[in-house]
Amino acid sequence: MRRIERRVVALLARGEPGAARLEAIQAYVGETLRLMPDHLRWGVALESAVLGAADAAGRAAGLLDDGRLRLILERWEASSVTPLRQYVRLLRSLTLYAGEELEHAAAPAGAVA
Amino acid sequence: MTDLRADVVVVGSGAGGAVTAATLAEGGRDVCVVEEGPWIAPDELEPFSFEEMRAKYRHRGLTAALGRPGIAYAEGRCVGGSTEINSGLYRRLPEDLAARWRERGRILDFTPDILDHYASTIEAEIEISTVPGAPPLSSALIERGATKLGWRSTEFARLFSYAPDGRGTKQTMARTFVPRAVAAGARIVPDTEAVRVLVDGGRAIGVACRRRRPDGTWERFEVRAPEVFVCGGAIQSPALLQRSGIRGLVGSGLEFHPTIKVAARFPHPIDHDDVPMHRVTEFPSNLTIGGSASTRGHVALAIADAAPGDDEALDAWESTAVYYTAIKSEGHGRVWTLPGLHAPVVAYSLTEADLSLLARGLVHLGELLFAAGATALYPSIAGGPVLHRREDLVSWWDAVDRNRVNLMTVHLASTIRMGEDPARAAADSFGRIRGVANLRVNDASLLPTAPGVNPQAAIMAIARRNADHFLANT
Repeated sequence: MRRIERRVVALLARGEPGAARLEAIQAYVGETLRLMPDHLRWGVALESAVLGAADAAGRAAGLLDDGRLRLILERWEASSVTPLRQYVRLLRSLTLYAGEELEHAAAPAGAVA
Repeated sequence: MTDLRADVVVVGSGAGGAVTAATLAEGGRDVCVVEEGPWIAPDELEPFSFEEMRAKYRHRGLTAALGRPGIAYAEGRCVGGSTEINSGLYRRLPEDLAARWRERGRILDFTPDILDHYASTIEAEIEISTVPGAPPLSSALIERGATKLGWRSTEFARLFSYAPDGRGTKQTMARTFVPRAVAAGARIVPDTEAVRVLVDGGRAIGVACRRRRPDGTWERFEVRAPEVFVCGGAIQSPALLQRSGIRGLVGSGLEFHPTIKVAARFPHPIDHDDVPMHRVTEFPSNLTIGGSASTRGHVALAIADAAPGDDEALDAWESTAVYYTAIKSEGHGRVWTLPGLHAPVVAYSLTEADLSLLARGLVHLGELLFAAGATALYPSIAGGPVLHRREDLVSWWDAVDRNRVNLMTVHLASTIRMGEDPARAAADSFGRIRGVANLRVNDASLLPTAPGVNPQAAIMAIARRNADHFLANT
Protein backbone atom coordinates (compact mmCIF):
# COMPACT_ATOMS: atom_id res chain seq x y z
CA MET A 1 0.00 0.00 0.00
CA ARG A 2 1.33 3.41 -0.96
CA ARG A 3 1.91 6.02 1.71
CA ILE A 4 -0.56 8.37 0.06
CA GLU A 5 -3.22 5.65 0.18
CA ARG A 6 -2.64 5.22 3.90
CA ARG A 7 -3.11 8.96 4.35
CA VAL A 8 -6.28 8.95 2.27
CA VAL A 9 -7.69 6.13 4.39
CA ALA A 10 -6.85 8.09 7.55
CA LEU A 11 -8.67 11.12 6.15
CA LEU A 12 -11.73 9.14 5.09
CA ALA A 13 -12.06 7.10 8.29
CA ARG A 14 -15.15 8.00 10.26
CA GLY A 15 -14.79 9.67 13.65
CA GLU A 16 -11.56 9.12 15.54
CA PRO A 17 -10.89 5.43 15.28
CA GLY A 18 -7.70 5.41 17.36
CA ALA A 19 -4.29 4.27 16.21
CA ALA A 20 -4.87 0.51 16.48
CA ARG A 21 -8.25 0.59 14.71
CA LEU A 22 -6.92 2.89 12.01
CA GLU A 23 -4.00 0.57 11.44
CA ALA A 24 -6.42 -2.37 11.11
CA ILE A 25 -8.52 -0.42 8.60
CA GLN A 26 -5.44 0.54 6.62
CA ALA A 27 -4.27 -3.06 6.64
CA TYR A 28 -7.63 -4.24 5.31
CA VAL A 29 -7.76 -1.59 2.59
CA GLY A 30 -4.15 -2.22 1.60
CA GLU A 31 -4.60 -5.98 1.37
CA THR A 32 -7.83 -5.59 -0.59
CA LEU A 33 -6.19 -3.22 -3.07
CA ARG A 34 -3.38 -5.71 -3.47
CA LEU A 35 -5.87 -8.45 -4.30
CA MET A 36 -7.73 -6.42 -6.93
CA PRO A 37 -7.53 -7.59 -10.54
CA ASP A 38 -4.29 -6.25 -12.00
CA HIS A 39 -5.85 -3.94 -14.56
CA LEU A 40 -8.03 -2.28 -11.91
CA ARG A 41 -5.20 -2.07 -9.40
CA TRP A 42 -2.94 -0.39 -11.93
CA GLY A 43 -5.56 2.29 -12.52
CA VAL A 44 -5.86 2.92 -8.80
CA ALA A 45 -2.07 3.00 -8.40
CA LEU A 46 -1.78 5.54 -11.21
CA GLU A 47 -4.33 7.80 -9.59
CA SER A 48 -2.60 7.41 -6.24
CA ALA A 49 0.64 8.49 -7.90
CA VAL A 50 -1.04 11.58 -9.33
CA LEU A 51 -2.60 12.38 -5.98
CA GLY A 52 0.71 11.86 -4.24
CA ALA A 53 2.45 14.18 -6.68
CA ALA A 54 -0.20 16.88 -6.17
CA ASP A 55 0.14 16.54 -2.44
CA ALA A 56 3.94 16.65 -2.65
CA ALA A 57 3.77 19.83 -4.72
CA GLY A 58 1.66 21.41 -2.01
CA ARG A 59 4.11 20.33 0.64
CA ALA A 60 6.97 21.80 -1.37
CA ALA A 61 5.03 25.05 -1.40
CA GLY A 62 4.79 24.92 2.37
CA LEU A 63 1.23 23.55 2.66
CA LEU A 64 1.97 20.85 5.18
CA ASP A 65 -1.39 20.02 6.74
CA ASP A 66 -3.97 17.48 5.55
CA GLY A 67 -6.38 20.22 4.52
CA ARG A 68 -4.89 20.43 1.05
CA LEU A 69 -5.18 16.66 0.51
CA ARG A 70 -8.74 16.72 1.80
CA LEU A 71 -9.56 19.52 -0.64
CA ILE A 72 -8.16 17.53 -3.57
CA LEU A 73 -10.24 14.52 -2.56
CA GLU A 74 -13.38 16.65 -2.36
CA ARG A 75 -12.69 18.01 -5.84
CA TRP A 76 -12.08 14.53 -7.22
CA GLU A 77 -15.27 13.23 -5.61
CA ALA A 78 -17.29 16.01 -7.29
CA SER A 79 -15.42 15.73 -10.59
CA SER A 80 -17.13 14.89 -13.87
CA VAL A 81 -14.18 12.64 -14.66
CA THR A 82 -15.43 9.19 -13.71
CA PRO A 83 -12.09 7.57 -12.74
CA LEU A 84 -11.32 10.42 -10.30
CA ARG A 85 -14.75 10.17 -8.74
CA GLN A 86 -14.55 6.41 -8.53
CA TYR A 87 -11.11 6.55 -6.92
CA VAL A 88 -12.48 8.43 -3.93
CA ARG A 89 -15.59 6.24 -3.84
CA LEU A 90 -13.49 3.09 -3.84
CA LEU A 91 -11.25 4.15 -0.98
CA ARG A 92 -14.14 5.61 0.98
CA SER A 93 -16.17 2.41 0.53
CA LEU A 94 -13.34 0.15 1.66
CA THR A 95 -12.51 2.42 4.59
CA LEU A 96 -16.13 2.67 5.71
CA TYR A 97 -16.82 -1.03 5.30
CA ALA A 98 -13.78 -2.06 7.29
CA GLY A 99 -14.32 0.61 9.93
CA GLU A 100 -17.98 -0.26 10.52
CA GLU A 101 -17.41 -4.01 10.54
CA LEU A 102 -14.48 -3.72 12.91
CA GLU A 103 -16.50 -1.42 15.16
CA HIS A 104 -19.33 -3.96 15.15
CA ALA A 105 -16.99 -6.83 15.94
CA ALA A 106 -15.51 -4.88 18.85
CA ALA A 107 -18.89 -3.98 20.36
CA PRO A 108 -19.63 -5.84 23.60
CA ALA A 109 -22.12 -8.70 23.26
CA GLY A 110 -25.67 -7.44 23.65
CA ALA A 111 -24.71 -3.90 22.74
CA VAL A 112 -26.29 -4.23 19.31
CA ALA A 113 -29.60 -5.62 18.11
CA MET B 1 2.43 -32.43 -5.23
CA THR B 2 2.95 -35.07 -7.88
CA ASP B 3 0.76 -35.29 -10.95
CA LEU B 4 -2.68 -36.79 -10.39
CA ARG B 5 -4.72 -39.08 -12.57
CA ALA B 6 -8.47 -39.53 -12.70
CA ASP B 7 -11.27 -40.54 -15.07
CA VAL B 8 -12.64 -37.02 -14.97
CA VAL B 9 -11.23 -33.72 -13.76
CA VAL B 10 -13.78 -31.07 -12.75
CA VAL B 11 -12.56 -27.48 -12.46
CA GLY B 12 -14.61 -25.60 -9.89
CA SER B 13 -16.93 -26.74 -7.11
CA GLY B 14 -19.89 -24.36 -7.22
CA ALA B 15 -23.46 -25.11 -8.28
CA GLY B 16 -22.27 -26.58 -11.60
CA GLY B 17 -19.06 -28.27 -10.49
CA ALA B 18 -20.34 -29.85 -7.27
CA VAL B 19 -23.43 -31.33 -8.95
CA THR B 20 -21.26 -32.61 -11.81
CA ALA B 21 -18.71 -34.16 -9.45
CA ALA B 22 -21.32 -35.86 -7.26
CA THR B 23 -23.26 -37.22 -10.24
CA LEU B 24 -20.17 -38.60 -11.97
CA ALA B 25 -18.61 -40.02 -8.81
CA GLU B 26 -21.87 -41.73 -7.88
CA GLY B 27 -21.98 -43.00 -11.45
CA GLY B 28 -18.75 -44.86 -10.82
CA ARG B 29 -16.18 -42.46 -12.28
CA ASP B 30 -12.96 -41.56 -10.55
CA VAL B 31 -13.37 -37.80 -10.16
CA CYS B 32 -10.84 -35.14 -9.15
CA VAL B 33 -12.15 -31.63 -8.40
CA VAL B 34 -9.71 -28.73 -8.68
CA GLU B 35 -10.86 -25.67 -6.71
CA GLU B 36 -8.95 -22.40 -6.68
CA GLY B 37 -10.21 -21.28 -3.28
CA PRO B 38 -9.89 -22.72 0.22
CA TRP B 39 -11.99 -25.46 1.75
CA ILE B 40 -13.71 -23.80 4.68
CA ALA B 41 -15.97 -25.78 6.99
CA PRO B 42 -19.59 -24.70 6.41
CA ASP B 43 -20.11 -23.43 9.98
CA GLU B 44 -16.73 -21.77 10.38
CA LEU B 45 -17.68 -18.27 9.28
CA GLU B 46 -20.77 -16.17 9.93
CA PRO B 47 -22.81 -15.62 6.73
CA PHE B 48 -22.32 -12.20 5.11
CA SER B 49 -19.68 -11.29 7.68
CA PHE B 50 -16.44 -9.36 7.31
CA GLU B 51 -14.53 -12.63 7.73
CA GLU B 52 -16.57 -14.30 5.03
CA MET B 53 -15.86 -11.43 2.65
CA ARG B 54 -12.14 -11.89 3.29
CA ALA B 55 -12.10 -15.66 2.98
CA LYS B 56 -14.69 -16.65 0.37
CA TYR B 57 -14.95 -13.83 -2.16
CA ARG B 58 -12.74 -13.56 -5.22
CA HIS B 59 -10.69 -10.38 -4.92
CA ARG B 60 -12.59 -9.78 -1.66
CA GLY B 61 -15.57 -8.77 -3.76
CA LEU B 62 -13.65 -5.97 -5.43
CA THR B 63 -14.20 -6.79 -9.09
CA ALA B 64 -15.91 -4.70 -11.73
CA ALA B 65 -16.98 -4.90 -15.34
CA LEU B 66 -15.57 -1.99 -17.30
CA GLY B 67 -18.08 0.24 -19.02
CA ARG B 68 -20.16 3.32 -18.53
CA PRO B 69 -21.08 2.87 -15.80
CA GLY B 70 -18.68 0.25 -14.49
CA ILE B 71 -20.60 -2.50 -12.73
CA ALA B 72 -19.26 -4.26 -9.64
CA TYR B 73 -19.74 -8.01 -9.49
CA ALA B 74 -19.08 -10.68 -6.91
CA GLU B 75 -17.93 -14.29 -7.26
CA GLY B 76 -17.29 -16.94 -4.67
CA ARG B 77 -13.79 -18.38 -4.55
CA CYS B 78 -13.87 -21.35 -2.19
CA VAL B 79 -15.07 -24.94 -2.13
CA GLY B 80 -18.77 -24.54 -2.91
CA GLY B 81 -18.19 -21.47 -5.07
CA SER B 82 -20.80 -18.73 -5.12
CA THR B 83 -23.34 -20.96 -3.36
CA GLU B 84 -21.34 -20.21 -0.22
CA ILE B 85 -21.96 -16.47 -0.45
CA ASN B 86 -25.37 -16.09 -2.10
CA SER B 87 -28.75 -15.82 -0.43
CA GLY B 88 -29.83 -19.35 -1.41
CA LEU B 89 -33.02 -18.26 -3.17
CA TYR B 90 -34.39 -21.04 -5.33
CA ARG B 91 -36.51 -20.45 -8.45
CA ARG B 92 -37.09 -23.03 -11.13
CA LEU B 93 -36.35 -21.91 -14.65
CA PRO B 94 -39.56 -20.29 -15.96
CA GLU B 95 -41.19 -22.46 -18.63
CA ASP B 96 -41.60 -19.66 -21.15
CA LEU B 97 -37.93 -18.78 -20.88
CA ALA B 98 -36.89 -22.42 -21.27
CA ALA B 99 -39.05 -22.60 -24.40
CA ARG B 100 -37.36 -19.51 -25.85
CA TRP B 101 -33.92 -20.93 -25.09
CA ARG B 102 -34.87 -24.25 -26.68
CA GLU B 103 -36.22 -22.68 -29.87
CA ARG B 104 -33.84 -19.78 -30.43
CA GLY B 105 -30.76 -21.61 -29.18
CA ARG B 106 -31.74 -24.89 -30.84
CA ILE B 107 -31.06 -26.85 -27.66
CA LEU B 108 -31.76 -30.57 -27.89
CA ASP B 109 -33.45 -32.54 -25.11
CA PHE B 110 -34.56 -29.37 -23.36
CA THR B 111 -38.27 -30.09 -23.20
CA PRO B 112 -40.49 -29.19 -20.22
CA ASP B 113 -40.66 -32.86 -19.22
CA ILE B 114 -36.90 -33.21 -19.13
CA LEU B 115 -36.37 -29.95 -17.26
CA ASP B 116 -39.11 -30.87 -14.77
CA HIS B 117 -37.46 -34.22 -14.23
CA TYR B 118 -34.09 -32.67 -13.42
CA ALA B 119 -35.52 -29.88 -11.27
CA SER B 120 -37.48 -32.52 -9.32
CA THR B 121 -34.37 -34.66 -9.01
CA ILE B 122 -32.39 -31.78 -7.51
CA GLU B 123 -35.27 -30.83 -5.23
CA ALA B 124 -35.43 -34.38 -3.92
CA GLU B 125 -31.73 -34.33 -3.12
CA ILE B 126 -31.39 -30.98 -1.37
CA GLU B 127 -33.67 -29.29 1.13
CA ILE B 128 -35.66 -26.33 -0.17
CA SER B 129 -37.89 -24.53 2.32
CA THR B 130 -39.77 -21.42 3.23
CA VAL B 131 -39.29 -19.93 6.68
CA PRO B 132 -41.27 -21.77 9.36
CA GLY B 133 -43.43 -19.24 11.16
CA ALA B 134 -43.21 -15.50 10.65
CA PRO B 135 -40.50 -14.13 8.37
CA PRO B 136 -37.93 -11.70 9.75
CA LEU B 137 -39.04 -8.07 9.86
CA SER B 138 -36.73 -7.00 7.02
CA SER B 139 -38.57 -9.46 4.77
CA ALA B 140 -42.06 -8.84 6.17
CA LEU B 141 -41.62 -5.16 5.33
CA ILE B 142 -41.54 -6.03 1.62
CA GLU B 143 -44.82 -7.87 2.00
CA ARG B 144 -46.27 -5.03 4.06
CA GLY B 145 -45.35 -2.39 1.51
CA ALA B 146 -46.60 -4.47 -1.41
CA THR B 147 -49.92 -5.15 0.32
CA LYS B 148 -50.48 -1.46 0.96
CA LEU B 149 -49.81 -0.70 -2.69
CA GLY B 150 -51.96 -3.56 -3.95
CA TRP B 151 -48.93 -5.29 -5.48
CA ARG B 152 -48.23 -8.98 -5.52
CA SER B 153 -45.34 -10.28 -3.43
CA THR B 154 -44.30 -13.73 -2.37
CA GLU B 155 -41.82 -15.46 -0.13
CA PHE B 156 -39.33 -17.28 -2.30
CA ALA B 157 -38.24 -20.73 -1.23
CA ARG B 158 -34.57 -21.07 -0.38
CA LEU B 159 -31.98 -23.80 -0.28
CA PHE B 160 -32.34 -23.95 3.49
CA SER B 161 -33.09 -26.54 6.12
CA TYR B 162 -34.63 -25.57 9.43
CA ALA B 163 -34.09 -27.13 12.82
CA PRO B 164 -37.08 -27.58 15.18
CA ASP B 165 -36.00 -24.41 17.00
CA GLY B 166 -36.36 -22.48 13.73
CA ARG B 167 -32.66 -22.04 13.11
CA GLY B 168 -31.98 -22.11 9.38
CA THR B 169 -28.96 -23.56 7.64
CA LYS B 170 -28.18 -22.74 4.03
CA GLN B 171 -27.71 -25.83 1.91
CA THR B 172 -24.57 -24.76 0.14
CA MET B 173 -22.54 -27.03 -2.10
CA ALA B 174 -19.89 -27.47 0.61
CA ARG B 175 -22.65 -28.83 2.83
CA THR B 176 -24.45 -31.00 0.26
CA PHE B 177 -23.08 -32.07 -3.12
CA VAL B 178 -19.40 -31.76 -2.28
CA PRO B 179 -19.67 -34.22 0.65
CA ARG B 180 -21.72 -36.51 -1.57
CA ALA B 181 -19.01 -36.43 -4.20
CA VAL B 182 -16.38 -37.20 -1.56
CA ALA B 183 -18.46 -40.04 -0.14
CA ALA B 184 -18.57 -41.53 -3.63
CA GLY B 185 -14.80 -41.36 -3.90
CA ALA B 186 -14.14 -37.96 -5.49
CA ARG B 187 -10.97 -36.15 -4.52
CA ILE B 188 -11.17 -32.41 -3.81
CA VAL B 189 -7.99 -30.42 -4.41
CA PRO B 190 -8.52 -26.95 -2.89
CA ASP B 191 -6.24 -23.89 -3.05
CA THR B 192 -5.27 -24.93 -6.56
CA GLU B 193 -5.60 -22.85 -9.69
CA ALA B 194 -6.33 -24.42 -13.07
CA VAL B 195 -3.88 -22.64 -15.33
CA ARG B 196 -4.93 -24.18 -18.64
CA VAL B 197 -6.62 -27.16 -20.15
CA LEU B 198 -4.14 -29.63 -21.64
CA VAL B 199 -5.04 -30.44 -25.24
CA ASP B 200 -3.31 -33.02 -27.40
CA GLY B 201 -4.34 -33.91 -30.92
CA GLY B 202 -7.61 -32.01 -30.57
CA ARG B 203 -8.59 -33.81 -27.35
CA ALA B 204 -8.55 -32.56 -23.76
CA ILE B 205 -6.25 -34.73 -21.68
CA GLY B 206 -6.19 -32.94 -18.34
CA VAL B 207 -5.53 -29.66 -16.60
CA ALA B 208 -2.26 -27.89 -15.75
CA CYS B 209 -2.47 -26.59 -12.19
CA ARG B 210 -0.51 -24.56 -9.70
CA ARG B 211 -0.77 -23.90 -5.99
CA ARG B 212 1.13 -21.45 -3.85
CA ARG B 213 3.57 -22.82 -1.31
CA PRO B 214 3.85 -21.18 2.13
CA ASP B 215 7.06 -19.45 0.98
CA GLY B 216 5.16 -17.75 -1.86
CA THR B 217 6.60 -19.78 -4.71
CA TRP B 218 4.38 -21.79 -7.05
CA GLU B 219 4.18 -25.54 -7.13
CA ARG B 220 3.06 -26.82 -10.54
CA PHE B 221 1.48 -30.13 -11.35
CA GLU B 222 -1.00 -31.72 -13.74
CA VAL B 223 -4.23 -33.58 -13.28
CA ARG B 224 -4.35 -36.01 -16.18
CA ALA B 225 -7.81 -37.22 -17.15
CA PRO B 226 -9.37 -38.30 -20.44
CA GLU B 227 -12.45 -36.15 -19.72
CA VAL B 228 -12.45 -32.52 -18.55
CA PHE B 229 -15.39 -30.54 -17.15
CA VAL B 230 -14.85 -26.79 -16.72
CA CYS B 231 -17.24 -25.40 -14.09
CA GLY B 232 -15.63 -22.17 -12.89
CA GLY B 233 -18.59 -19.88 -13.55
CA ALA B 234 -19.39 -17.38 -16.28
CA ILE B 235 -16.20 -15.35 -15.82
CA GLN B 236 -13.55 -17.92 -14.89
CA SER B 237 -14.64 -20.70 -17.29
CA PRO B 238 -14.22 -18.62 -20.46
CA ALA B 239 -11.00 -17.21 -19.05
CA LEU B 240 -9.59 -20.72 -18.57
CA LEU B 241 -10.60 -21.77 -22.07
CA GLN B 242 -9.08 -18.64 -23.59
CA ARG B 243 -5.83 -19.20 -21.69
CA SER B 244 -5.89 -22.67 -23.23
CA GLY B 245 -6.09 -21.24 -26.75
CA ILE B 246 -9.82 -21.91 -27.16
CA ARG B 247 -11.46 -18.68 -28.28
CA GLY B 248 -14.05 -18.09 -31.02
CA LEU B 249 -17.33 -17.31 -29.28
CA VAL B 250 -15.92 -18.16 -25.86
CA GLY B 251 -16.30 -15.15 -23.55
CA SER B 252 -18.75 -13.24 -25.72
CA GLY B 253 -22.38 -12.67 -24.91
CA LEU B 254 -21.97 -12.06 -21.17
CA GLU B 255 -25.30 -11.21 -19.57
CA PHE B 256 -26.23 -10.33 -16.02
CA HIS B 257 -28.81 -8.65 -13.82
CA PRO B 258 -27.69 -5.06 -13.10
CA THR B 259 -28.81 -4.13 -9.61
CA ILE B 260 -29.20 -0.82 -7.80
CA LYS B 261 -29.50 -0.68 -4.03
CA VAL B 262 -31.29 1.57 -1.58
CA ALA B 263 -30.62 1.83 2.15
CA ALA B 264 -33.97 2.30 3.88
CA ARG B 265 -34.21 3.74 7.36
CA PHE B 266 -37.22 2.87 9.50
CA PRO B 267 -38.47 4.35 12.78
CA HIS B 268 -37.70 1.09 14.57
CA PRO B 269 -34.84 -1.43 14.79
CA ILE B 270 -34.62 -4.06 12.08
CA ASP B 271 -32.94 -7.47 11.85
CA HIS B 272 -29.56 -7.80 10.11
CA ASP B 273 -28.70 -11.49 10.33
CA ASP B 274 -30.42 -12.80 7.21
CA VAL B 275 -31.36 -11.74 3.71
CA PRO B 276 -35.06 -10.95 3.09
CA MET B 277 -36.76 -13.83 1.30
CA HIS B 278 -39.78 -11.91 0.02
CA ARG B 279 -39.79 -10.54 -3.51
CA VAL B 280 -42.21 -8.25 -5.30
CA THR B 281 -43.72 -10.19 -8.21
CA GLU B 282 -45.98 -7.45 -9.49
CA PHE B 283 -43.85 -6.53 -12.45
CA PRO B 284 -42.75 -8.35 -15.62
CA SER B 285 -39.90 -10.83 -15.27
CA ASN B 286 -37.35 -8.24 -16.38
CA LEU B 287 -37.78 -6.28 -13.12
CA THR B 288 -37.27 -7.66 -9.61
CA ILE B 289 -37.47 -6.03 -6.19
CA GLY B 290 -36.09 -7.65 -3.06
CA GLY B 291 -33.79 -7.33 -0.08
CA SER B 292 -30.06 -7.65 0.36
CA ALA B 293 -27.47 -8.41 3.04
CA SER B 294 -27.56 -5.66 5.65
CA THR B 295 -24.67 -6.03 8.03
CA ARG B 296 -23.37 -2.83 9.56
CA GLY B 297 -20.73 -2.59 6.83
CA HIS B 298 -23.21 -3.22 4.02
CA VAL B 299 -25.54 -0.54 5.37
CA ALA B 300 -22.65 1.93 5.52
CA LEU B 301 -21.71 1.17 1.91
CA ALA B 302 -25.28 1.69 0.75
CA ILE B 303 -25.62 5.00 2.59
CA ALA B 304 -22.25 6.36 1.56
CA ASP B 305 -23.06 6.79 -2.13
CA ALA B 306 -25.89 9.21 -1.47
CA ALA B 307 -24.73 10.75 1.77
CA PRO B 308 -20.96 10.45 2.29
CA GLY B 309 -19.98 11.75 5.66
CA ASP B 310 -23.52 11.62 7.08
CA ASP B 311 -22.59 10.32 10.52
CA GLU B 312 -26.13 10.56 11.83
CA ALA B 313 -27.37 8.23 9.09
CA LEU B 314 -24.53 5.79 9.67
CA ASP B 315 -25.17 5.79 13.40
CA ALA B 316 -28.76 4.72 12.72
CA TRP B 317 -27.64 1.50 11.04
CA GLU B 318 -29.65 -0.66 13.44
CA SER B 319 -32.83 0.85 11.99
CA THR B 320 -31.63 0.60 8.40
CA ALA B 321 -31.70 -2.25 5.88
CA VAL B 322 -30.63 -2.59 2.27
CA TYR B 323 -33.04 -3.37 -0.56
CA TYR B 324 -32.58 -3.54 -4.30
CA THR B 325 -34.14 -3.56 -7.71
CA ALA B 326 -32.58 -5.73 -10.43
CA ILE B 327 -33.31 -5.88 -14.12
CA LYS B 328 -32.84 -8.31 -16.93
CA SER B 329 -30.56 -6.25 -19.10
CA GLU B 330 -30.72 -5.88 -22.86
CA GLY B 331 -27.00 -5.12 -22.89
CA HIS B 332 -24.12 -7.51 -23.40
CA GLY B 333 -20.59 -7.90 -22.21
CA ARG B 334 -17.44 -9.81 -22.83
CA VAL B 335 -14.67 -11.62 -20.95
CA TRP B 336 -11.07 -11.40 -22.22
CA THR B 337 -7.81 -12.75 -21.05
CA LEU B 338 -4.85 -10.61 -21.99
CA PRO B 339 -1.13 -11.37 -21.86
CA GLY B 340 0.43 -10.19 -18.62
CA LEU B 341 -2.86 -9.97 -16.76
CA HIS B 342 -3.75 -12.71 -14.32
CA ALA B 343 -7.40 -11.79 -13.89
CA PRO B 344 -9.68 -11.64 -16.92
CA VAL B 345 -10.88 -8.27 -18.16
CA VAL B 346 -14.66 -7.97 -18.14
CA ALA B 347 -16.62 -5.28 -19.96
CA TYR B 348 -20.34 -4.63 -20.17
CA SER B 349 -22.50 -2.16 -22.09
CA LEU B 350 -25.78 -1.06 -20.60
CA THR B 351 -28.39 0.18 -23.07
CA GLU B 352 -30.46 3.31 -22.64
CA ALA B 353 -33.46 1.03 -22.17
CA ASP B 354 -31.61 -0.66 -19.30
CA LEU B 355 -31.05 2.67 -17.58
CA SER B 356 -34.68 3.60 -18.06
CA LEU B 357 -35.81 0.28 -16.61
CA LEU B 358 -33.44 0.68 -13.66
CA ALA B 359 -34.89 4.14 -12.98
CA ARG B 360 -38.39 2.70 -13.13
CA GLY B 361 -37.42 -0.09 -10.76
CA LEU B 362 -35.79 2.37 -8.39
CA VAL B 363 -38.91 4.51 -8.20
CA HIS B 364 -41.06 1.41 -7.59
CA LEU B 365 -38.65 0.32 -4.88
CA GLY B 366 -38.98 3.75 -3.27
CA GLU B 367 -42.77 3.48 -3.39
CA LEU B 368 -42.58 0.08 -1.73
CA LEU B 369 -40.26 1.20 1.05
CA PHE B 370 -42.22 4.35 1.89
CA ALA B 371 -45.39 2.25 1.95
CA ALA B 372 -43.61 -0.11 4.35
CA GLY B 373 -42.90 2.79 6.70
CA ALA B 374 -39.41 3.96 5.72
CA THR B 375 -38.52 7.49 6.82
CA ALA B 376 -35.40 8.01 4.71
CA LEU B 377 -34.11 6.39 1.52
CA TYR B 378 -30.48 6.50 0.37
CA PRO B 379 -30.05 5.31 -3.25
CA SER B 380 -26.74 4.05 -4.63
CA ILE B 381 -26.37 7.19 -6.67
CA ALA B 382 -23.48 9.57 -6.17
CA GLY B 383 -24.87 12.61 -4.42
CA GLY B 384 -28.32 11.13 -3.91
CA PRO B 385 -30.92 12.56 -3.72
CA VAL B 386 -31.81 11.23 -0.26
CA LEU B 387 -35.59 11.19 0.05
CA HIS B 388 -37.96 11.46 2.99
CA ARG B 389 -41.31 11.66 1.17
CA ARG B 390 -42.97 9.59 -1.50
CA GLU B 391 -43.89 12.77 -3.40
CA ASP B 392 -40.22 13.38 -4.15
CA LEU B 393 -39.57 10.02 -5.83
CA VAL B 394 -39.89 11.66 -9.23
CA SER B 395 -36.42 13.12 -8.70
CA TRP B 396 -34.92 9.61 -8.97
CA TRP B 397 -35.96 9.32 -12.62
CA ASP B 398 -33.37 11.86 -13.67
CA ALA B 399 -30.77 10.77 -11.11
CA VAL B 400 -30.16 7.39 -12.75
CA ASP B 401 -27.55 8.44 -15.28
CA ARG B 402 -24.35 6.82 -16.40
CA ASN B 403 -22.12 9.18 -14.47
CA ARG B 404 -23.78 8.89 -11.08
CA VAL B 405 -25.41 5.51 -10.69
CA ASN B 406 -23.52 2.75 -8.88
CA LEU B 407 -24.55 -0.73 -9.94
CA MET B 408 -23.59 -4.25 -8.97
CA THR B 409 -24.55 -7.83 -9.81
CA VAL B 410 -24.09 -11.36 -8.54
CA HIS B 411 -25.79 -13.23 -11.41
CA LEU B 412 -23.42 -13.75 -14.33
CA ALA B 413 -24.20 -15.96 -17.32
CA SER B 414 -24.01 -16.80 -21.01
CA THR B 415 -20.31 -16.58 -21.89
CA ILE B 416 -20.15 -20.10 -23.39
CA ARG B 417 -23.71 -20.55 -24.61
CA MET B 418 -25.10 -24.01 -25.37
CA GLY B 419 -27.03 -24.98 -28.49
CA GLU B 420 -26.79 -26.55 -31.91
CA ASP B 421 -26.10 -23.35 -33.84
CA PRO B 422 -22.31 -22.98 -34.09
CA ALA B 423 -22.72 -19.35 -35.10
CA ARG B 424 -24.29 -18.56 -31.69
CA ALA B 425 -23.08 -21.19 -29.28
CA ALA B 426 -19.55 -22.25 -28.32
CA ALA B 427 -20.87 -25.45 -26.75
CA ASP B 428 -23.39 -27.98 -28.00
CA SER B 429 -26.67 -28.82 -26.27
CA PHE B 430 -24.85 -30.77 -23.54
CA GLY B 431 -21.93 -28.45 -22.87
CA ARG B 432 -19.40 -30.08 -25.20
CA ILE B 433 -16.98 -27.48 -26.53
CA ARG B 434 -16.84 -27.34 -30.29
CA GLY B 435 -13.45 -28.15 -31.74
CA VAL B 436 -11.97 -29.90 -28.70
CA ALA B 437 -13.01 -33.45 -27.94
CA ASN B 438 -13.67 -34.57 -24.36
CA LEU B 439 -13.92 -31.01 -23.06
CA ARG B 440 -17.17 -29.85 -21.48
CA VAL B 441 -18.45 -26.78 -19.67
CA ASN B 442 -21.17 -27.25 -17.06
CA ASP B 443 -22.03 -24.04 -15.25
CA ALA B 444 -23.78 -20.66 -15.66
CA SER B 445 -21.72 -19.98 -18.78
CA LEU B 446 -24.02 -22.32 -20.72
CA LEU B 447 -27.24 -20.38 -20.09
CA PRO B 448 -28.27 -18.78 -23.38
CA THR B 449 -29.29 -15.57 -21.59
CA ALA B 450 -29.44 -14.22 -18.07
CA PRO B 451 -32.55 -15.90 -16.71
CA GLY B 452 -34.18 -12.95 -14.93
CA VAL B 453 -34.46 -15.06 -11.77
CA ASN B 454 -31.90 -16.40 -9.31
CA PRO B 455 -29.97 -18.78 -11.57
CA GLN B 456 -28.80 -21.45 -9.12
CA ALA B 457 -31.78 -23.76 -9.70
CA ALA B 458 -31.29 -23.67 -13.47
CA ILE B 459 -27.54 -24.19 -13.15
CA MET B 460 -27.97 -27.23 -10.92
CA ALA B 461 -30.69 -28.85 -13.05
CA ILE B 462 -28.78 -28.33 -16.30
CA ALA B 463 -25.55 -29.57 -14.72
CA ARG B 464 -27.31 -32.72 -13.58
CA ARG B 465 -28.83 -33.23 -17.03
CA ASN B 466 -25.49 -32.84 -18.76
CA ALA B 467 -23.72 -35.12 -16.29
CA ASP B 468 -26.34 -37.81 -16.85
CA HIS B 469 -25.92 -37.39 -20.60
CA PHE B 470 -22.18 -37.87 -20.17
CA LEU B 471 -22.66 -41.03 -18.11
CA ALA B 472 -25.07 -42.44 -20.66
CA ASN B 473 -22.82 -41.73 -23.64
CA THR B 474 -19.27 -42.45 -22.52
